Amino acid sequence: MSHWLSVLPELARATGTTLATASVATACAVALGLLFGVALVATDKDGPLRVVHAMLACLVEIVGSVPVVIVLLAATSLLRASAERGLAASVVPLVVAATPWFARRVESNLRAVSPAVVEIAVAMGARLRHVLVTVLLRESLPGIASNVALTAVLLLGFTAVADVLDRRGLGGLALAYGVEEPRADVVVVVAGVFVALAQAVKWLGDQVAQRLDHRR
Amino acid sequence: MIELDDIRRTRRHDHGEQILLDSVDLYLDAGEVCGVVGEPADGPRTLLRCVNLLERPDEGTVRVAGEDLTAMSPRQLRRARHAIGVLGPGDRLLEQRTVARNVSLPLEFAGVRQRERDLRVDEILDRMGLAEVADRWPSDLTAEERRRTAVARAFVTRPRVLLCQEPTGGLSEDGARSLLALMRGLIADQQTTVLVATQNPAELAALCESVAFLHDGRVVEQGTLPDTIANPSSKLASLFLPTLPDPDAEHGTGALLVDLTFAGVDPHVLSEVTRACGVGVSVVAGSLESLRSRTVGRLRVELTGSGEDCQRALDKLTDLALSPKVHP
Repeated sequence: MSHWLSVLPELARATGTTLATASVATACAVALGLLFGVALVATDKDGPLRVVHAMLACLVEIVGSVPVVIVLLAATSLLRASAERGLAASVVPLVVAATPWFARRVESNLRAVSPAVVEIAVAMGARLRHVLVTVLLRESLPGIASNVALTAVLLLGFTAVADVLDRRGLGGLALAYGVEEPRADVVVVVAGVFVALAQAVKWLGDQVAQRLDHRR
Repeated sequence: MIELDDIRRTRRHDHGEQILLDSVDLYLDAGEVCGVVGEPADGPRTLLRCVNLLERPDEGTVRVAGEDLTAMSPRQLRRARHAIGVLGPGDRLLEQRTVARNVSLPLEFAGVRQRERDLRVDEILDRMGLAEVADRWPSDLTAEERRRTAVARAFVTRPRVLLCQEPTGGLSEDGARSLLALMRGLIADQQTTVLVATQNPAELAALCESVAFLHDGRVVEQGTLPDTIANPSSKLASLFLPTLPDPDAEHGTGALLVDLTFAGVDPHVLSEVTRACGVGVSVVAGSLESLRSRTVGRLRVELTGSGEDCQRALDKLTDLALSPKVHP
């Protein structure tokens, strides 16, 4: 029992670190992914900006195809060379890894809006920004909210991997007590914290999506 | 107000080229309401989409209020569309906006100020009987309320031109009747020029002064509604005439079974003719209805009497343009 007195503050600190990393990464990945997703729809593959669309799609595909651990290793080696560490150093590779995934989800949410609704907006003289913001984003908001929650859960997992490589946060704690100083009970608790965090984020996302959804 | 000159629209696919519209000329005066009738494959929907250039014609010009839409830049076209209302098919409401905000949508697109928007939205919602549901979501509305919302949205900008497809599709008979009455009032008050693509005789009769019949992408018949109804050989008139069932082989022995087509002829002539010729008459099938003060429909009647009297009655009915068709 006594060893928990030393582990608990460590666990709380590690949870805080992981949460901060995952939250900042989620915010950045959502903002960037939203931009890319909207841009993928705005530059339609059959429209006049199809070259831009092809370039964007190519970028999203290539970056999205690199396994997260490779992105993290590449970032770690690059940042080691520049001797920069800290939150930003952890967040950048996570954002790079999660943005393409979220961008594709946003694109799919926007494309799920009925073309008939988009057409009537165009027929009423809507500008492109009206179509994108007033019609597409507003109509797909519940789906996007769900995908923000899923991205946050995904990034919790990515953060655990980054934590292991950086030996910080919950991942670092699991590495320390799972490999270097084996204590299965601590590792189980760390796993439990991840499950609780993921479920809480998913529940929150579902609640928000439900409140935003006025379709029946 | 609407001038379509020599419109041709084709669609290319793997097996060649499909002609959707061919040499279509259509002219509507300000305030005129014209029905465009035809099977979906014959192009009525394409024709409407060519007026606001949702589909750009391969050839020909589209003028609305004297302005050539086909020669406009994208920005000019967008502005021109602010004066062209659109309705249907279906209601096409934004599910994530309340009724009032759905109705205000075209005003937002046109850059109308919030205060003016609110006034206009309140006014049209009142008129459409939607004031009480203004803050509801479309999913909470009945089918009729949803369609009224779509109509309110189409008229809120007081458009000079309205392009309308099957405005009452999917509504109950009562719902359709009250919606058509509301639309008729709005069209009259706002002096809107309207193109209605529909195959529904009730919509044509309630809204349209003229009709154009499309077949294989061409306008094959065109005229005022009363003239069309009065011409039983017209394809358009057949829309208004009920189809009679196959004649029953067991019909009265010795009686003559005759189908009559009423296209603007007073139904009383039937009893007058049969009385004058000394033959009995009884209606066995069919129906008549009044469209724009004209009687339209088909009746199947049994004539009883001597062969000579029946023949005389048939001749008179032919003279009266009832097109009698005798079943053997």
